[in-house]
Amino acid sequence: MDTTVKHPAMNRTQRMLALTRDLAWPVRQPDEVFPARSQEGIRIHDWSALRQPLQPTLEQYWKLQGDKDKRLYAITDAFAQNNGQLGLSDARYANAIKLLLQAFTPIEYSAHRGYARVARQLGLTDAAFQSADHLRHHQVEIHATSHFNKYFNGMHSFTEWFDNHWMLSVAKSYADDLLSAGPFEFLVAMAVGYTPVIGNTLHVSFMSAAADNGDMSTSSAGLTAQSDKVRHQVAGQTLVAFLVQQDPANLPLVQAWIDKWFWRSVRLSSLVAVMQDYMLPYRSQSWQQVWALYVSQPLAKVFETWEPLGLSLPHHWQEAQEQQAHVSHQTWLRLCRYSAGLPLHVWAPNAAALNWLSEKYPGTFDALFRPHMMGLGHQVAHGHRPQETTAPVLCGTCQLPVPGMDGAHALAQAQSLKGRCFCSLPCQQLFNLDADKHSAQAASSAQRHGWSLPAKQAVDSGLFDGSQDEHNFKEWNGGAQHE
Amino acid sequence: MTVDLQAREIQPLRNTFSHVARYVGDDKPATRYQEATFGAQATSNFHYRPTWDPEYELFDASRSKVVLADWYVLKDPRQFYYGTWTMARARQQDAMESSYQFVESRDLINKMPDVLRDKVCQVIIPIRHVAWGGNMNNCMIAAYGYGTAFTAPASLHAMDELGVAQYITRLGLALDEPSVLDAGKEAWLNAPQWQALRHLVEDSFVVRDPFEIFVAQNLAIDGLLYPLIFGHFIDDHVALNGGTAVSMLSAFMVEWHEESNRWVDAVVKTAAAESEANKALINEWTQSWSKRMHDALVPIAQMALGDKGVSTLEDVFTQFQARCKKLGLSA
Amino acid sequence: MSNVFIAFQVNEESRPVVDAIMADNPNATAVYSPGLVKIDAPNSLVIKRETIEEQLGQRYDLQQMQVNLVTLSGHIDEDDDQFTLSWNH
Repeated sequence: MDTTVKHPAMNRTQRMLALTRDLAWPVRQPDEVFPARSQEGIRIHDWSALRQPLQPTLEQYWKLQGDKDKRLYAITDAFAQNNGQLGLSDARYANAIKLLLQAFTPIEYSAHRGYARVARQLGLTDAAFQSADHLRHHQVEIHATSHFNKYFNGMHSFTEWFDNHWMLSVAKSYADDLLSAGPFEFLVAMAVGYTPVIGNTLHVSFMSAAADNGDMSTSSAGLTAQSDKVRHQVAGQTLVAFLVQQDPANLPLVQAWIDKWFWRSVRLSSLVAVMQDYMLPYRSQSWQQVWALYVSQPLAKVFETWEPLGLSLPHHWQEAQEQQAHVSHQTWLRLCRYSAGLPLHVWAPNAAALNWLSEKYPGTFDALFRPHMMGLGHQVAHGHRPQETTAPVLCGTCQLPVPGMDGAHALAQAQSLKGRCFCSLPCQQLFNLDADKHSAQAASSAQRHGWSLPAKQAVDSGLFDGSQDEHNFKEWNGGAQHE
Repeated sequence: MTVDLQAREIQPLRNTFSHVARYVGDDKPATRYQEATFGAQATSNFHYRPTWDPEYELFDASRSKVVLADWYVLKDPRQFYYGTWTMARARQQDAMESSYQFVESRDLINKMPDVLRDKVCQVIIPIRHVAWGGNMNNCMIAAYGYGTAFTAPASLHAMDELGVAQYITRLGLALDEPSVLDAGKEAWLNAPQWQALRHLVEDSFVVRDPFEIFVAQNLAIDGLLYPLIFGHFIDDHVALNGGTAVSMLSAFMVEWHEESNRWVDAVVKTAAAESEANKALINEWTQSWSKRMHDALVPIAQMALGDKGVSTLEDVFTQFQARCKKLGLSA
Repeated sequence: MSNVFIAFQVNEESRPVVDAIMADNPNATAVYSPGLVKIDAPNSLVIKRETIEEQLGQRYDLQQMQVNLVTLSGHIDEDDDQFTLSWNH
């Protein structure tokens, strides 16, 4: 591919300016055209100081994205034509795809619409590219998993579950908070929250492990989406530094958004954690390893470089680090307790899985979680497994279940507290910073508490053992046993 | 052991997702366009309201005065999803790249008469700002419109408009030194011939109804601008007077306009056909924006085509009215 | 010592890029995992268009590298001829 738009008198920076910011001009009625520019208190004096690393021209973009999609859809087609789902390590893996579709694919859509707003609200062309990219991610995930949906349960009504099921409230709350935010908060949220915490874990390490488990389709979609997300990561980090450098008034605002969105992303990442540690039959890295390699080490370094600008590590950085040894196990156990009403399957981890978890979480797993997992195995084997019949109380901020608040009595308590129950101190603090806004969620939580999986969707829930997924997978493979 | 794949009856449990099946049925596999589009946008149980616009929900059909029983009726006849769109544009970019190489290797720009080169720069370069306005307005639709059928193509159209702006910029840099871009911006901001158009574009930026923006930008503004400038001025006048190179380097704009009109027309026609009230609204918007655009183009038509400017513009306008009539409008 | 890193999908297209990086950065290390290669380097890493062209035997635009790019860590400095990742500002 030849580089377009070369002119001997212009370097790359000047060229990019001519192709982006220089297209805009001072309009007659800026306050009417860009009312959102000043609503959050952010002050920008010179937009041309915002660098644009990795920013392609549209010609380069079309060429690059065309190459990627030609390659990707060839893989998607081949996977479907060859019934690639037969080559999965184990049908249990399909449950990771279910969670991907139910929780994360809709967030890509929200990011797409959110970036379109930012592009218009700030007159920022970079955001228009990012909006198109997230539309791409939304679509490639649907297209890559479409084939799985034909053969496995738990995927067919992912939009219905996203809107109504309590398990996915954490995802919709996150997506809606993003959409409700002003343009600068949105940009900071994506830069220090979604892209580094969710993107780098879900789309890098999980997608690579997916390939290991025989899923070339979703794996390819995830890895190619990541090629866009690198651009976003770079653009986001450049933007955060730019905001802080533009005016001292911006610093406390940006820091507050960093604190909020890092924490919200950490809570959301509990769903990625459980996918990484419990839903990959062919195991690779643990969630804790992935977290260290792809989130905390790189982010710590970024914040180190931002320190001279006056920014600090997110307020609850330490709590976030401490959670990572526990979060996947806690989440799995909860899913098992509620499995009768969830649109995915659960199972008791086998001996190999338990040993792997012990090895990856030395000390903590055996002390805190192995007994519960063994208890679970025992219950499954004997067909007596206590199941919750009401929805759990959801945290008033992040909408994850509040530990210990299960059952009808807890629900009644929560109602009397008008939804002011929290899973953690950081969530409570976030709520208090914007109580009016977050109290609106009480109505959504109540709606989810009152909603349950329709009877015809019973086949989507419960134990993997004895499920239609398990039966079908064996049948398709000629009755052959998989590990 | 041989494995006979055909003997293994692997029957699918279903053909598509339920929110897609609601629209297309489940008796056969849905297309990629259908799976990417139907039911993608959340419609209920929003957790928050927009902080920047709290009187609306996060996705809210009432932002528009146009009323549709179901916004998913506004399908794109091209059935673009991101993948087919970007692959189509990549092929077009390849063709443009070849054209640039052809023009540059044969030094065709320098073989153009200077007067013609200057005229082209004078007329075309400020239009890169109009195209940026097209990007802004389509971002507005993608941001605030209702239903993925309507908003997703608008998002791609916004990128296309930016592509036009960048192609015009590239053309300018091929025709002259970088200062030609500054001259064009100066004209856009201050030269009398451009002010009516600039004010029109700026006024389109304060419209709050996503469907009105659609009509203003994609039907009225582009619907008159492209035939006049890229049709009559470049493909006829400039090409016939020794500027074929410019015509080659503007091919994308002509092709793209024709292709996307299929989408624009389908959306307008479908929305207008749904009710008398919609039709009246769309008529009113089309008439007022196209009249204003026509008037704004008079000085530009004269600048571009001299004596023939006004009559050519009248032809363009007549054809535009005929197009609108086919859509069920009475502009 | 702070590493920068860059990771690519492993395929025919990214191979000359990876080879060029290893050639131009003697202190870099490459680790392969399924479908991915992650290259770490102490403090900084440079990617030169010219070296890639030597590996590939054809003209190359640095932007093409993005097709197979998966993730990176470090500050970017780029022009038409080279791309540098570092922790220096």
